[in-house]
Amino acid sequence: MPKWAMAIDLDKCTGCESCMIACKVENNVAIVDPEQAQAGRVMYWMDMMTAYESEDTQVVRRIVPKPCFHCDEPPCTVVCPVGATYRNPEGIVAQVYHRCIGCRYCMAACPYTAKVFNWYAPKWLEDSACRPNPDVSLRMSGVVEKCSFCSHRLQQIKEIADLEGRRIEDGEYVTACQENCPTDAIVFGDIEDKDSSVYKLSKSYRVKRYMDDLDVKPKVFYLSRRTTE
Amino acid sequence: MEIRRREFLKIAAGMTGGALLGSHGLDPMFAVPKEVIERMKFGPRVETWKNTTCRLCPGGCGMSVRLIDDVPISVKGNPLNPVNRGGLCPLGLNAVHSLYHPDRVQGPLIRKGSPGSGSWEKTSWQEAFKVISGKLNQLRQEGKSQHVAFLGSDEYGFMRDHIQRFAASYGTPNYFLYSKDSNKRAANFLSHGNRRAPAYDIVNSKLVVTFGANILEEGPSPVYYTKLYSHHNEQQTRYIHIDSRLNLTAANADRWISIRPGTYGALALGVAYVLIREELYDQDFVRAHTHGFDDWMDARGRRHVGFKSTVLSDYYPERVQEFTGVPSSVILELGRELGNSRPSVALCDQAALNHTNGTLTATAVNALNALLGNYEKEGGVYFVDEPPFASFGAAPMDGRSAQAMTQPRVGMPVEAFLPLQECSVKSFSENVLSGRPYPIDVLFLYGGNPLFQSVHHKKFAQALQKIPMVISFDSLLTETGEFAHYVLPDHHFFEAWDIVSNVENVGFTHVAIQQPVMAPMYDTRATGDVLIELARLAEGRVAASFPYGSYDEGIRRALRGVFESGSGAIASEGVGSRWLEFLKQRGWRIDRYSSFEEFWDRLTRYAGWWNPIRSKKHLRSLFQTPSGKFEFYSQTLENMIQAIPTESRDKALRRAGISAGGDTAFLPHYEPVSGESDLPLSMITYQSMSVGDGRGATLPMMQELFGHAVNRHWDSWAEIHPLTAQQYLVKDGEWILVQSSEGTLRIRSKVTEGVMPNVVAIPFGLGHTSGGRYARGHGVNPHSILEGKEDGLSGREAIQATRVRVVAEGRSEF
Repeated sequence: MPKWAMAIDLDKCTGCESCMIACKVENNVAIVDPEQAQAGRVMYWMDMMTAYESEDTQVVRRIVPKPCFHCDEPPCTVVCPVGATYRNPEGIVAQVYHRCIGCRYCMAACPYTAKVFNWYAPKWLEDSACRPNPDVSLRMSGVVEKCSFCSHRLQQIKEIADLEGRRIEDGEYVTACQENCPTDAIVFGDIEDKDSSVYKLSKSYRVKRYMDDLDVKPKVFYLSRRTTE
Repeated sequence: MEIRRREFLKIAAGMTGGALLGSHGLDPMFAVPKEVIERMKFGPRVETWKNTTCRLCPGGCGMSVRLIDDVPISVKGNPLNPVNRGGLCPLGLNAVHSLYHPDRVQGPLIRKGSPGSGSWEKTSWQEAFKVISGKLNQLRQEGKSQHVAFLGSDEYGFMRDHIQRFAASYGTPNYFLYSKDSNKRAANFLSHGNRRAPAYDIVNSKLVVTFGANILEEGPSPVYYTKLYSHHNEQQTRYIHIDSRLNLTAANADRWISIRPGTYGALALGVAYVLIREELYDQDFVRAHTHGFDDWMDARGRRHVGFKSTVLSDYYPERVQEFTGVPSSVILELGRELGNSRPSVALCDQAALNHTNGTLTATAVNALNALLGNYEKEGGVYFVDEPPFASFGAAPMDGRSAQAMTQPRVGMPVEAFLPLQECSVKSFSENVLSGRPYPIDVLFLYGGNPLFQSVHHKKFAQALQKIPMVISFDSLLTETGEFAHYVLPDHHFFEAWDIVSNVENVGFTHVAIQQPVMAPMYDTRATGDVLIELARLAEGRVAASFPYGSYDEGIRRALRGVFESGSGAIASEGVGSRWLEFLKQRGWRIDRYSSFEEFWDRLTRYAGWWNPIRSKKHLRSLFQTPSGKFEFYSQTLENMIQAIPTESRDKALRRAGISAGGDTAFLPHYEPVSGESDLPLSMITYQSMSVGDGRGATLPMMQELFGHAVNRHWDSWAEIHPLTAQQYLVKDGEWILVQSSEGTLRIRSKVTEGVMPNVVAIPFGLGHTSGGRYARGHGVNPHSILEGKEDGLSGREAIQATRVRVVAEGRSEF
């Protein structure tokens, strides 16, 4: 059984925010109206964290892309009262929208704040004309949603691979953010496969895991030369 | 009133349904034609991919469009395109939204009310052609064909040649580009003798110093640079960025050096001082291929002061520190690092150039590259060959057009200007308003949005109102387009043909194909074809200007030249430029095609052609200056000044913004930025990747992304350093007023250390009054309060040169 994981190379990433939009377009994530956006209700499955820090008299701007970490021991699934979020056998933490009752316990439990809530159906978008991606279902208001590692792509590739009677090759299943990253900073693949590039990267000396002390075993890890986090 | 259960259920059901669809806008696509919606809803869901080229910025990235039942759904980067190699910026990824934008112009319009009132009436193409060609013919018969002007943006399509052909054979010298790069072109003309922008071999360089060049966000092709940047680890390239603000390039650089706006030239010369003093420069190159480094004697026996003595006497680090605010120790470090970690290269752009002394700053940075001996060297500066397009020859002219072409151009200052100047919105507007040298009767606007972008927007608006017939080709109305009498909408770039070739600074010859991925949704026409139609309807021999029947046929014929040259290759997978070079040296030739049809078929499938193999040029052939060498001492500029009558020479120099006397005037030097102002702070503006030059603001997803880094969505903000904020009693996130001599902006503050003290940084791109429902009424346009300053040598607007003061709103006085 494969186990999907992602490596993000912060030494390559420039913070151009392409992954955010690639994700948003691919997964039909709603655009919220200006006032609600100002109130902090913008929805991104792939978010970008920015921080200004001082480093020997110099100001540094740190930019870190943040998808769902798809933890191996996810705190969010434990608290869900209706089983709407669960970890599937391939390691993807999935979200079942029709089960979700919108209690947002999982949002509170997630240490990475990777989940977003569909607050309402913004009215002004009624006359916007954009065609959603037919591979991804639309979410109703009142449910929690998050990055799915583009699992709809996995379903399609799995069908093809099954028909042809073979394993999914490394680099065959790519997420939207990885596909459009101008610096190739995002690497995605099966971490159980010893030949995959994500496995090799996971053994790099540059590996940093975000909030490692929580022991939730995130499957998204960062690569950075910097010694501080 | 009692609501029965049955009715209540009905209402509730209706509400949920509406909310579901409304949140994602599937159903109410009133703007999109019925048959397209039908196909989206009930089609058999056949997925296809088609390659084309993005036109949302001049970058020329290849994109693959995902079509389901021939309806575009989304895009991704085309991995075969050599410029972006599969990457795309956020704006490009949002291209589909611009196709389905509900406010697109759906057919030719005629304005009924005052500009900006939004009262348009539909008209037919026939009617529009009749009126416009009637006017054009009448002007030509009266011998006033020069009264017609074209104003365009400087993007790299086939369209520029196309308009040029029409203008020449119709007979008007007034085709202007509203350009951001005239400073660079002028400086290159002074240093190299030609206006071409070189490419920089960043990947093979050990140190890249960018003077204000925000290459990862604003550069000519940000995705191209981002791709190059991603190799910096394995190549061990160091980046140093010099800027007043911690922008994306600075954030990713190994070091950010903050500097006062407008003093980049002084810093470059301070670095030159270190290189010369410590003998870190390339002495062989300087001796053999440059002019004016040492003191020299001209043909008439006059002694001239050289670059070396000027720099050594005037730009010692302590003095440069006073100009720039960069500590002298940092200048020493920078110079030593640049000199010792060869190959190293220096770039300059946006923030450094858009000031009153921009051209001189660019010559100073050129001088740094010459000191480092970078020309035609690995990890240095080189020039890319033009693609081998088939030539159509000069546009045929009859007596009328030939006579009209000798007339002075309206976009130029009337007197005492140096031929370095390009059209500026200021002189264009002034000349139109004063009717000198002759009035303008018809103005065609193609691309660009000077009314939104220019600092001279007030004058330009008056000029637009004075012109009796203004025609815009906007596909989505812009501020400038609102002033048009006729709008003849162009296709969206997903529906039209074009080619983008040799994007500035890209390091190889390339042609990207923009081709229709779907049939036009509305009653729009390609502007190229509209011009062909106008030429056909014109009297005389104008129709002969286009040897091709339609715009796409013209593109096909131009590309036949590429096929016949037999050089280069169609963008193909997995072949890097080094690999191709390797093969070439061993006598290999790449792809051969038996016929043009085969070539064309492949070309349109992969949407790109490139030639990474560049013939090595001899250094003597690079420079077209009077001396045939790189010129520190610009004889070009000296000759221009000599050509002016003695009595008005001083005036011309003053107009050009050169206050230095003697030989220094013709050397790269630092012209102090005028400090006479009682306003204490400098205001700078910059572009973000999502909104770009303002076009991205028409898309809701880009508006939302705009200020994500500072948590401001759909809105502008002003960045202020904590020390400055403390001094002017401004708190983070509160409303402040930013006042210049031209006006006041109300804006939220963002107190951050990512900007130099005494500088206010405001992002450009928001604050639209036109451009559709998503653009209007969000944020502010910082260019609306800029002072009307410009670079005297090139005519480029100085958008970084405004002085302001700030105060928190509600506090009594400034």
